[in-house]
Amino acid sequence: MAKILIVDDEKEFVDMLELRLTRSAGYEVIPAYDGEEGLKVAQENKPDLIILDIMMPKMDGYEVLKRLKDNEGTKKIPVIVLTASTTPAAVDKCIALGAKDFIVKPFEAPELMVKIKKALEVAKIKKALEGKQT
Amino acid sequence: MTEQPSNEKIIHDIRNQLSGITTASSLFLDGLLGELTDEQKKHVGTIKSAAEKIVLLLQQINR
Repeated sequence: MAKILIVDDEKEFVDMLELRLTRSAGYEVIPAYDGEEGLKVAQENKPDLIILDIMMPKMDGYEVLKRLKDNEGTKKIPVIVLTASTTPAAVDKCIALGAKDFIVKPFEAPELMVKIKKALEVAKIKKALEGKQT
Repeated sequence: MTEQPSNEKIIHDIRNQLSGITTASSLFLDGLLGELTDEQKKHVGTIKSAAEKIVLLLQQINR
C-alpha cells in the first residue's frame, strides 16, 4: 500500500488525518511536524505522496516544496498542499513550485481521498512509462 | 509592544481550528472511531455543520 508523508505543525490534526488515511484506505502514514523534519523524512523514506502544510515553524511549506523539487531523489514525489491559506497568491505560488494539487482547510474528506488516489495513479503511470522508455 | 497579527493570519488560524472540528466530526460520522447511535450522529452532525457555517461567515469577511 502507498506510503504517505504528512507534514503539518498541528499535531492533533496530523493524528486525525493519519487515522483517516490508515483506517479508511489502508495507506501507510509517516508524520512530520515541521518543515525541516518533513524534508528530512521525505529524503530518507521516499514516500509515494506528500501532504504538505504551508505555515509551519523552522521551514515553511514553500521552501520545503522548492527543496523537494530541486532534489533528484524527491522531485518526482507528488505533493498535495493542504493549508488554511486561501489567497490566490498562495495557490499560484504552490502550483508554480510544483505542487500537484491544493486543498483549503477545512476540507471534505472525500475530496482529499479522491485527490490522493488520483495523484498516486498518475505517479504510477508516469513511473511505468519511464520504465518503458529506458 | 506586541505586534498585532494581520486579518489574513487570524482568518488562517480560525480556519485551522475549524478544520480540527470538521475533521474530528467526520471521523465520528464516518464510523472510523466506532459506530454512533442515531442520536449521537445527529449531535456530531450539528457540531460539523456549525463549523461549516462559520467558514461561510469567514468567506463573507474575506470579500
